[in-house]
Amino acid sequence: MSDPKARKDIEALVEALDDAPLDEADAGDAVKRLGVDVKKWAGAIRQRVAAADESDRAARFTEARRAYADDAARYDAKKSEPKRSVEEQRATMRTLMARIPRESATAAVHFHKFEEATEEELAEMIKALRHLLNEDE
Amino acid sequence: MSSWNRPARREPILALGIQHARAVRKEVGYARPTELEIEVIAHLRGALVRATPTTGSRATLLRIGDRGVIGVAGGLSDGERRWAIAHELGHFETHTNVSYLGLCTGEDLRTTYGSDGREPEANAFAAELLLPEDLV
Repeated sequence: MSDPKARKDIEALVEALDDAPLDEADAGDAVKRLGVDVKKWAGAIRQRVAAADESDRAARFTEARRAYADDAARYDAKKSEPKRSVEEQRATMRTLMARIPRESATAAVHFHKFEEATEEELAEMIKALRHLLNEDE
Repeated sequence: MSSWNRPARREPILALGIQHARAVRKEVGYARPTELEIEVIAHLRGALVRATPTTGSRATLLRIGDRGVIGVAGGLSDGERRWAIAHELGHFETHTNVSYLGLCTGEDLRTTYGSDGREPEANAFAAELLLPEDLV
């Protein structure tokens, strides 16, 4: 819409329509006289909107992938728990779990098969727990 | 420690899992589940997925408040891995009234309706998340 006259005409038309909206018959008549292919026009608009949505979504997903990769790298960079017995690690777990704010609704905790967890599993759980408690020991 | 505020057993409400999966899809804004990796979806929701050594479980979930870590076992096929992560994300999304520090076993993931009602709900969540009804 680079033609200033055409732009002015359209602005005048939009303004006029604000005051006296077209009914369907008027609109149909105008479209017919102007030779506008409404179906094609609507399709093009829908395509343009879909392309904009797709572009926006792709950008959001790219950002989400980057954020995940960054967080994962930070987590992986944390040092592993020292090798300790199951009993010692359970004690560490208890200490860490005691730091979870009990006054919040999220203080309830439960385990499946916790009693059977191996040294390696416990070490990984402790690492994750420290991560969630923002502890970097 | 294992009995500390353990959630009470109850009958599963599968619609709860399905409803939460649909909410996640809507909020994350993908049309097809394959559009975005399950790890990234989980991260967008507050749960970081990492590989973890496990013996009796396929996946674990540690949750404190609105953040969590989902540990997933190695040696799983792509499909098993996606399912295991989606299942844990189901706990994360659906059972927010309890802070899970759970290890889900292969048995849990196969759905034992007689057990904690929350396991079938997490499975219903995973099914709807990975294979939305409207796309079937």
